[in-house]
Amino acid sequence: MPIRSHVDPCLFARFIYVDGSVVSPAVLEQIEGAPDQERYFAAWRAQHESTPHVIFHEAYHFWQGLRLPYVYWYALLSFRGVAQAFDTANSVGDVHEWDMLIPEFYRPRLSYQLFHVGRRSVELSTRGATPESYIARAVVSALDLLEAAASIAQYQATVGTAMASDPLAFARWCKRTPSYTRVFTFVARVLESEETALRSLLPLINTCFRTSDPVRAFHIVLAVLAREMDTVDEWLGQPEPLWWSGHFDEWLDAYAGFEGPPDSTTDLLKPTYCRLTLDHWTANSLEHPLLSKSARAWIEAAAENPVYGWAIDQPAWASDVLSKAREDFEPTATVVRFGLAGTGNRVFVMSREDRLTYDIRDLLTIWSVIRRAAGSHFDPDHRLCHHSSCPEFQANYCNSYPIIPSRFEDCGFPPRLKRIREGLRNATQEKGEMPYGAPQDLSW
Amino acid sequence: MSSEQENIASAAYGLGQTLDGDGLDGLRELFEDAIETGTSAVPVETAVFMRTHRIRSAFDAYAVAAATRSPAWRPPALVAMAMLIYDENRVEAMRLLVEVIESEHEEATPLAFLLLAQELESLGAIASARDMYVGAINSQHPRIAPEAGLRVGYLLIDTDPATAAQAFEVAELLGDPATSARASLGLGLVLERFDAEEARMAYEEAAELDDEDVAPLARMMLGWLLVPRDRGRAIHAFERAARVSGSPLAARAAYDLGVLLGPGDGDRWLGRAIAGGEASDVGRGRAFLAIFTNARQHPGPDAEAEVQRALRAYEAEIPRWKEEMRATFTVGDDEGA
Repeated sequence: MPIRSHVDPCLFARFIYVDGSVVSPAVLEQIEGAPDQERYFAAWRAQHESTPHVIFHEAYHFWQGLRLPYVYWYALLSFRGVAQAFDTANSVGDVHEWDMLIPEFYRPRLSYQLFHVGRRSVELSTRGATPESYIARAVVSALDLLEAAASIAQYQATVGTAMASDPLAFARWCKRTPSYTRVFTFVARVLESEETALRSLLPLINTCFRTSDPVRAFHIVLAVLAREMDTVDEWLGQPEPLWWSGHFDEWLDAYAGFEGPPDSTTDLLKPTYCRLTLDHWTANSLEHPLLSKSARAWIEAAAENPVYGWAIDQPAWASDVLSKAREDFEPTATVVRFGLAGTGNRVFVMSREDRLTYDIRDLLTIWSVIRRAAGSHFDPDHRLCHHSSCPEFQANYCNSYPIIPSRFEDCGFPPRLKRIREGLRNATQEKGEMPYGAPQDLSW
Repeated sequence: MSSEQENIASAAYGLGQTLDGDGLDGLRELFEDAIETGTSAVPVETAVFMRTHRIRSAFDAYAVAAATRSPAWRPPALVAMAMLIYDENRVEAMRLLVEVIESEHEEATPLAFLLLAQELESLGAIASARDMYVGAINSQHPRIAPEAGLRVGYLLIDTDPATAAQAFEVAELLGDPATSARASLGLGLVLERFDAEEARMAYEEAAELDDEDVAPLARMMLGWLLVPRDRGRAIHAFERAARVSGSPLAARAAYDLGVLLGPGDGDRWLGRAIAGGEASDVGRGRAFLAIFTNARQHPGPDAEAEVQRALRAYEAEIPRWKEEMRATFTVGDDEGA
């Protein structure tokens, strides 16, 4: 089964998969022949131009990590969990025997049931309870919301202000572009207005990610919006960009029933329901190796130009800022795999060294092993390498290691992993603590 | 015992079973199922429960259930813990099982009796093992009592045939068809020493239950029992055993059948024994076939006398064959408990 390009919600590396059989001759020319970084970059640039929607979509996911407190908070703490899991498992000699469960890894994928139960009325269930009757049901997780947001952002950034709120144009665009429309369809049904859904959904979702339980917040804000639909005609009649997120934040304050003060939880699995703020978590002594520096840089940019503050909520009206963001806030690490039948894959990694806190090859090695051992944030088909006769191939603990040599015997994955493991053992013995933050008991 | 403690015990025991059966994959499935169905609260609560009680393995989970001292959950949890540590720490496992037999748990206590009995039997402590098996039988547990009956029956078959017969009767009465078949076979073995007719009925019952492992054995034992008493029924028993295609005893039964049918009718069956049998069957079959061929080609008193001599030698060997056959009997599925 083909693997989709993705940004994982933990390490936040962007993986771009390109099917070599459909690339242009210009790209093919660059990537065939002996490995060469410069030609690979040229191929990437050419590919970038031919599939801008994929590149934007995955870049938007990266921006979600920089701008949405829940996503940043989750990445920060779950990557700390990765480090802890690696340290714990390090006592087991053979890495192929590493088998662990990290429940926190599942958190963003764990879904809730939303029921459209009556005219502009919506209910939430997490235990399987079902209302006696309902009009529609949607099974929604935090990741579903992020995907829905990325699709709408991609659409609005593509079409600009003239059609950003046009549901007919959006429907046409969805037919041409792979997109996540399930949440949009549900919301449009509840609101009884596709146009209002298209205008409000992106800021609505992003507002909910300023809490520790985005789906729960989504239910509340959607329920209030549906209820208020009849009374906000005049406000809705104004031209975009409306300040949706300001209203949604007020509604959250009024109706969310937060259980604790802002930023009062580090429990990824069953967090205290509270507000999360970027200011708090980006100022934390914990560093996310790929996100922290860029997130702080974006906050600084927003202090100088307020459009940065809401650009990812309403991208059609922030096109200048987002154009610049595409250069300034390109994902910190991108792994590109050109899959070529016959001659093997061409893989290369691009990283912004000024925004990284550790060697990207080490990070990808650690992440490869842990996602495989934990079995979550991991598709068994995800692999970069084509050397099927390599002894590491079947076990696939090297799934995200980005340097693929001509001969598998020359692969750097085993020695790098060995070096990291030994270094970690020594560091733990000497300092009594892990890099990437203090150990936390996350894994089994 | 508060209901909260009962809930903890119940949840921990259930978790232990999940981890015991499928390991981490069982829990992964729980999460994947919640992702699919929108029931996120379920795996989250499970994971929080594991974190709260520091559960990292099936053993930990059972230990949490046992620690509640719930009369409903502690005994089965102790049994499960004993089974998990059995290979590494047999003494501790037995200590846990002894505690369970002192409880009166409907499921766990009979199982503890049975497990302790098996362990004591393997250590050669026959009298103690017998007592434990009797404890399991007395529980009247529908699955464990017949299993115990079967095991103690075979354990005592030589040293205490009367008790063995009683145990086999319990197993025959309460067990599932496979257990009943084995018990009837055992009963036949015991009764052969006292009452051939009763033994015949037991073997016939074992054969009629049609268990694919037991029925051929029972027919062989029945056939050998009947050779000196009722040759026609013996032939019938061997024929049924010989006609089971794929049975490891089919060639052996063909040999007995060929011998009993004599020159002419028996040749074909001896041919089968030679074609499909083990080395000893092949050798015996060839010898008899030569005698039969000679009797047909050169009929007369000498040839007839040779046939009769060979038949007497055949009958004289039956007790040894029965002993050899008995040694191959198995009590049943060792994991059945």
